[in-house]
Amino acid sequence: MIDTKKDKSEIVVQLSDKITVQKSGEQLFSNKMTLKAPSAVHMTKLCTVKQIVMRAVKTAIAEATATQAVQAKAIQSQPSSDAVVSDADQAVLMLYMNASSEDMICVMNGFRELLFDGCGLVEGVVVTDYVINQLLVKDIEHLLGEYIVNFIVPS
Amino acid sequence: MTQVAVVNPQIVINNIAVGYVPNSLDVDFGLGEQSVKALAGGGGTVSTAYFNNIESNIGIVKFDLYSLNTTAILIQDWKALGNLNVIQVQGEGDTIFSFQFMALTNRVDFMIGNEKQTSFEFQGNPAITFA
Repeated sequence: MIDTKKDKSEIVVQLSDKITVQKSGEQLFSNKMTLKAPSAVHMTKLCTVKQIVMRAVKTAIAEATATQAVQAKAIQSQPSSDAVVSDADQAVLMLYMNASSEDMICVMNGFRELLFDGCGLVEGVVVTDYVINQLLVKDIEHLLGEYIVNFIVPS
Repeated sequence: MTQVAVVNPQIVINNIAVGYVPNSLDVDFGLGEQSVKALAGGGGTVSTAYFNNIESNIGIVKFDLYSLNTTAILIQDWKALGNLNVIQVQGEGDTIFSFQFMALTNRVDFMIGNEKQTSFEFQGNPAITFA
């Protein structure tokens, strides 16, 4: 992530490779994607993704707490959701480890739908299949991680 | 580079892949028409002059779509954009041609009926190649 507005209504995420997008008669290249916070119109598409993410966070917190107990460390400072998903890549890793394969497919499809529905923009153009299909897997995972950290967990 | 016949390229117009009627795609890269004329030099000598008619440097993309409900919407969107359409033709072997500032120039005759097709002709800037 390279830029964050104070109100976090949108963030700009750096991509590892350039992608092309067609806008106003021109073929443009960009290595940034803007992620917009979900609004009420995205509620139904967001709820499945959020439910799976929050379940995974809960599992991760429970596992971290159990690990601390085994290590006989102070239980007073129990791990929070912030500690579990403080970083975008860590959030995706947490999701891969704690969500089922079916849930991961639901999350990926749900995230794509959110992007198509106005939550993902490149050069001000809402992304389409054509744009998304140019992304590397690591970029999609990073975008998902940023979305979880900035918009799904805090909301 | 492996030589592959271009038989099924993908067309992307304004970030949306368009499914067209097979074998209906016709592309003019906008390289124009050139000519050579002989010049009489006298004394048995002849030389030539090269002419590049830039009037014909126009990129053209033609194709047919089946007359679907989605086609009717696309016609209105493409016409409304004037010459701000972008067309990318991606052929086999990852050869990509991009046509910028394209306008849907033909009078679109939306044929209604079973398996009816509608023809489209876009004109604009000469092609840019991304290989």
